[in-house]
Amino acid sequence: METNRENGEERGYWRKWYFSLMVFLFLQILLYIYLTNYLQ
Amino acid sequence: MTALDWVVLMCTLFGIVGYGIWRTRQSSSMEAYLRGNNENRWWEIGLSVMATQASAITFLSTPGQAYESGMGFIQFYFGLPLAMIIVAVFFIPVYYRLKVFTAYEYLESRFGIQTRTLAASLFLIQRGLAAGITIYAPSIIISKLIGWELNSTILFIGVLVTLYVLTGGTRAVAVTHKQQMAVIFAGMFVAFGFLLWHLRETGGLLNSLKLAGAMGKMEIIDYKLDLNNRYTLWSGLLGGFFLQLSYFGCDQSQVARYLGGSSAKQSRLGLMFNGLVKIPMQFFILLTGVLVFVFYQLNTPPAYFNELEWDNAMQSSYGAELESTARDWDKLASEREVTLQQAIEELQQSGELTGDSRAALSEVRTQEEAIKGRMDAIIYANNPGAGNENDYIFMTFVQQYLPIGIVGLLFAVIFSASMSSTSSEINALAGTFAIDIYKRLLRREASATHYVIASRAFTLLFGTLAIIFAMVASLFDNLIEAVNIIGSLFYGTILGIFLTALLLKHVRGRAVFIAAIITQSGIFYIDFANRYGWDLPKPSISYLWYNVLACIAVMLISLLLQTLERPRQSVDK
Repeated sequence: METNRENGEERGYWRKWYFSLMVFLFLQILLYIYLTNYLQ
Repeated sequence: MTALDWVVLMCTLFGIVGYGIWRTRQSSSMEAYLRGNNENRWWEIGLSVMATQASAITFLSTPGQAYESGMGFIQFYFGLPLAMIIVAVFFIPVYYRLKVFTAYEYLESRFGIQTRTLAASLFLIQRGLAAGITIYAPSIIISKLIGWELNSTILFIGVLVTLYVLTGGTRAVAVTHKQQMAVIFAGMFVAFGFLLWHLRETGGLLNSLKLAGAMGKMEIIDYKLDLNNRYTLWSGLLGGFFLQLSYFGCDQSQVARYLGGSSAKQSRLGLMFNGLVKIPMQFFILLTGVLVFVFYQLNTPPAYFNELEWDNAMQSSYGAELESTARDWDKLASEREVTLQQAIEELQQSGELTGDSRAALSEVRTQEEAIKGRMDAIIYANNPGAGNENDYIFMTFVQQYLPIGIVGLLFAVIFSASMSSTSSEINALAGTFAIDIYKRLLRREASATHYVIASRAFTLLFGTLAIIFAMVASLFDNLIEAVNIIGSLFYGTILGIFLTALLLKHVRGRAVFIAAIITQSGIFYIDFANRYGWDLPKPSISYLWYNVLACIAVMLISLLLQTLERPRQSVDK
């Protein structure tokens, strides 16, 4: 039981990392699209 | 370079190498020599991974590329964050569970010795050739800029790197990577700061970027779905993803960096750090190139940045023709000055450029490109191996406009970058040869001390080979291109083998081995048929897509072969 809970916490921890990384990529691409349009 | 610059450069380089040797002088076990004693924390792994990927060419060519073609190259890295996640989820747990020294060890537990040896051999061929080029390519440029002999530059870099990798192995690579990255970051920030200071007459960074945009340098995103276009949003997200996944998941020069982590968690965090920082860092390097472009619009650029090739062509039979392009270039300078002055006034008054100014700036750029095209044609007619002029742009700016001492620091950046990537390569080549070939096939039972001595001997061997290869590289005109092509041709297949191992659990060694051979032959065919214009049916695609194609092909073919093999096995029974 204890190990399952620890594994669950571990998975949650990494999911937050992966989600944040993809959100950061998405925001960067949005910024670059904005800059491409704004600076033409 | 002044005496102070030389002092800064030499103190930085010898300081890093000396510290690396001193800190790791007692690396006497296999664990210490090939896995760095598993004591690296996440930020050390992140920096080491970044230092391995950032070669001298990154800091010489990337700003030059932005100067010439704008910011579009950033799209090449869009697949990297997702690749970091896949490596963290699938590759790292397996490597840590099996406690491997090299990535290829895993393939034996999954598919047998045949596939392990195939993948390790492909890596040794590809990286063995690339290590020489990693020293040779920047040495050509550095030697011309600081006036050293080419071979002396190659020997200087090669011997220093081999010395500390030989002494401390993976630990020495990790320890020196931290200092090298610190020098690289410091140098690039200082150069960027000076650029902004020089560009203050435009009214600030935003106005400089608007000028760059009007001259076509700020087209960061390209949505077109064109398989022949190298840098688009789609090739970056998909093609870049497969390339980065292959590089970080299956290339021992990267795998060795995160296998040196104190735990799987630290290794994963190191890759997350790389996923967060890499794209902004490349953006920053490209932006530096764009700002150098704006700077040279305001301060007449040299007619040609590669002065040596220019002088050689001037003294040849092409001299008169080149002289005429130089006159056209000078004529354009006054027109450029008027157009730029008007554009800056508009920007300072209203913050925007009028349509007329945009058209005038665009016209100036078109004329510049036409004259540059004529110059390039003459330079290459005089010397087909003249190299890319863009590689000299950034350091020419540094040498001409940055203060004494800072020039030395920027040269330290270039040398550090060259040494950081070369050290990872030599270390990985020695490790792979020691573990996957020597220990597995040639000498299975020996003491740990024997294997450490053997690993040191292989480090010396691969370091020496890289230096010799770099020295003879200049004798073969198309060698660099050939090596780069060979590298990109193998990556997809190797990734396909690893992903089949990790994701298609019921596929066995025979199926994947045959699938890899079929796929690799297909990729060779497509590339050679297009490159040499064979009169045969051939799909025309850019090299970034080879990785996608080859990886998917290996997985599908091995799946198919495994499915066909099953009924036959049942009949045999």
